[in-house]
Amino acid sequence: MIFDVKELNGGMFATVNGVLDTAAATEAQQEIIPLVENADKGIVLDCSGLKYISSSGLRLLLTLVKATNARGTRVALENITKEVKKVLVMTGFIELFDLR
Amino acid sequence: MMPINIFTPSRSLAAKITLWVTAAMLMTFVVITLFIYRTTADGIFMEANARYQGLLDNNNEEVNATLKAVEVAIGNNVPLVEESLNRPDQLYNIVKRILTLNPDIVGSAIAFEPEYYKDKGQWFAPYAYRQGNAIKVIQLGSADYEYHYMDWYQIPKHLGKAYWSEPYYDQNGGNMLMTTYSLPLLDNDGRMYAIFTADIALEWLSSMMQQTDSINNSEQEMGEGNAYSFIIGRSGTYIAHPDHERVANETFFSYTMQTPDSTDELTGYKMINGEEGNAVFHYNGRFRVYYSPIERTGWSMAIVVPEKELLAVANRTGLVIITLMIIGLIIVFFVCHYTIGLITKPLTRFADSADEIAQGNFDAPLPAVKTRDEMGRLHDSFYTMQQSLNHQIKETIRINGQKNRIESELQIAQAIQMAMLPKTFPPFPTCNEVAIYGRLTPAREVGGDLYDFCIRDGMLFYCIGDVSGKGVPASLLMAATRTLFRTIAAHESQPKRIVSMLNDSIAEDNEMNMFVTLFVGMIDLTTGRMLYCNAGHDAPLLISNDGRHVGQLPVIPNLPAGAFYGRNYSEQETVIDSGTTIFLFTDGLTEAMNNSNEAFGEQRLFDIAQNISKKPEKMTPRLLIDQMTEAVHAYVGDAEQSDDLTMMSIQYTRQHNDGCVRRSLALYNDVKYTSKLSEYVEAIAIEKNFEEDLKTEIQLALEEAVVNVMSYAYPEGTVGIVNINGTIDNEWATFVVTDSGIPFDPLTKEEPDITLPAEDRPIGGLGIFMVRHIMDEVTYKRQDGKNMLTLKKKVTKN
Repeated sequence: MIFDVKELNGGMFATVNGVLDTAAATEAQQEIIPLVENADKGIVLDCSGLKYISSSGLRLLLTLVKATNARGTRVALENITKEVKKVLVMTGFIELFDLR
Repeated sequence: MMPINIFTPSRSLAAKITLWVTAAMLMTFVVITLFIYRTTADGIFMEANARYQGLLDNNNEEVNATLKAVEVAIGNNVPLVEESLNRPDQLYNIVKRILTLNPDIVGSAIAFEPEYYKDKGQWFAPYAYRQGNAIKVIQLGSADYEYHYMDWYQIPKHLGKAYWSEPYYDQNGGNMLMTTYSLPLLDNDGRMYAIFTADIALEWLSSMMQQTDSINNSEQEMGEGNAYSFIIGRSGTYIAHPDHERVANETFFSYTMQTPDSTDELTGYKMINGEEGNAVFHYNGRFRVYYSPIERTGWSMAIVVPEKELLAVANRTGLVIITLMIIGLIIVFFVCHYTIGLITKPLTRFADSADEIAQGNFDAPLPAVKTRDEMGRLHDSFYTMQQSLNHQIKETIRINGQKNRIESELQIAQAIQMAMLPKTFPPFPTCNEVAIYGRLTPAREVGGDLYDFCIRDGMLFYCIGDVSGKGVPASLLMAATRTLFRTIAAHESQPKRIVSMLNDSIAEDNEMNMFVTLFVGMIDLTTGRMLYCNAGHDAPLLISNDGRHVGQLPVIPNLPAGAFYGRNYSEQETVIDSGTTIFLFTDGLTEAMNNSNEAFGEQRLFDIAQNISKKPEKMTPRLLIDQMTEAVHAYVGDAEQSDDLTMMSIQYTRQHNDGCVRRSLALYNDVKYTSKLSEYVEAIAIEKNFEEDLKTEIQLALEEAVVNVMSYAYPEGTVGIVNINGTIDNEWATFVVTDSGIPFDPLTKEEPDITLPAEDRPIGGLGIFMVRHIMDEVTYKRQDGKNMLTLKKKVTKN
């Protein structure tokens, strides 16, 4: 399990752990469904345990961003590692999130 | 005729039957003879009884006549005596007249009671007797001869009736054996007053008996004279006997005391009791005694005959019968023996023939049998058997010869087949770039498995294969395949071309529809680049140098060679590191069955390879195959090997000392295998001492490139392989991503605008954007029907 999802203080909260490569992203597709469905509550992802992300992983995150934007909420990323930040910067994704 | 071997242990059939027949006849004869003898003897005894009783009756009559004459003579004179009682002296004339008239009477007296005549005194007994021819008369009684006390006087007086005295020797008159008849004379009152007697000599009795004896003895015709007769008195005293000494001196009982049988005495009592009959005495042999009473005197007359004389005729008849029977038996014996011997003679000949046949002479002559009996049938059966044996033995010899020839041919074929396989190891002693070991264990004399390898132009060509079917047909195709491989590999370097040409050669005129599963590989010994083509064979194992990675080499299955003419075969490519071992095998290994019919299986193969590679000693191809062989033997146990078992192990041992790392990876076209990339990049990073950032970047770029290929080069549902060959020197890290999919150049894709808001961002195109961003050089080319994407990144440290 990569996305550990729960509700916290009226918002959606998930800790993201491990590696989000193509193989893992395929599996994680199911795990983000509760987040997408409750996008109106806003999403906070704790990325301190996420070591690696590929374009497939980015695709999952984009799904979440589109879901929140449609409902007027935002996706916030907490404690992102420098490897992940590097990818987000490289792809311009960094602008789509609130970083904490 | 054969000599009669009756007394040897192995008697002939004739001797046995003859003996039994003779024995049975002998038994019957003995019973019949005994029966006849008994019947005859009984008849003889009955006849003898009648005859001797008749003789005795005759004698009896004679005795009675004589005695009766005396009684009558006395009786007739009784009236004269009564008339003369008043004149006592007249009585002398009466007695004298009795003697005169009766020559048998030797003396007669009229003895009166004492004092009957007062004047005559105590005794008065006028007595007449013979002296020579004269007749003398005296008065008998005196003080010296008190006749009143004599038996002849006392007994009749007390009995009150006439009485014959026991015989006695007369001391006065000529010492003759006499008997006295005494008649008591009674007066009118019934009182006895005198005893009237007559004496007679008994010499005639002896004469009479002697005459009887002589008749008996002459009638027996035996001349033995052993029959005799005797007369005993009331107390058993002999009255007449051939032995005169015994007369009046001995009794019959003094004789019976000497005999062992107590019933003899009983016979004696019966005789003096006046009974008639016969008895058997034992006294120096068996004697028959016939006896009859003389009632008048109470005596008993007997004739004694030895039984053997009585039975002389029966014995003689018996002897004749026995003699005749023995002669008959002897004749039967010889006739039987001869006849049966004649009948069974062919049996011995048959036995001789059978012995001869048993020793291998199937044309042994059979005895001639002309009869249509059992012997004839035996002859026919023997003849049929002989013919049949002859035929079958010849057939067996012929088949055996054929079999031996086929077997020896098979052995030669095996030797030829084995000679086709490389068997000198190490095959290239001076080559330190590769180590090879192979082993083939055929299930039968010849098999359909093969393995081979050769080096040309710095390239190692190898193949392993398994022909469909078993035995000679498979071995022929195996030989053809191996030869074709050698021939084609001599000028053709691409495994897929080798396989295609092999396929076409076999498929042409393949009327038996046989095929061969093949794995053909080529290793460039300088670079470690390996091309391989699989034609329906099991995927080989790849075992890394340190043993940490054991896995199947990804292979595209393809059809077996020889199935369809003109078929295209796809080829894969990889680069193997120094120390990597390729383990090739046929299904004889994975499908080796144990006693419970369970296959060895791929998992077990995997585990064993892993265990071996983890061992501290350096892994060599030979060690791997030895241990694998040991493991499969231990698993199979004593179950019969059902299929050829072939293994080949190739270890790439070239040492690169230029600081250049070559590493390759082959992946099936499924994104789930992309995780392997992290291991792959990790290994390179450790070897080249990359920093964490660089490692992650390379992994990310490779993943995006591979995922891109997987997504576009292979249509959904097809199986394909993506190869990554990495070459990392001190300046550049170069990765070539190769696939055999549809032509596709990812670089032609438009770069995404990464400044768009989220809603407008496209899903695709990001991967290639990232690859380009990370890598310093990205080029695409289409070559040999493959897409080749080359990624280069500068790794020089500043």
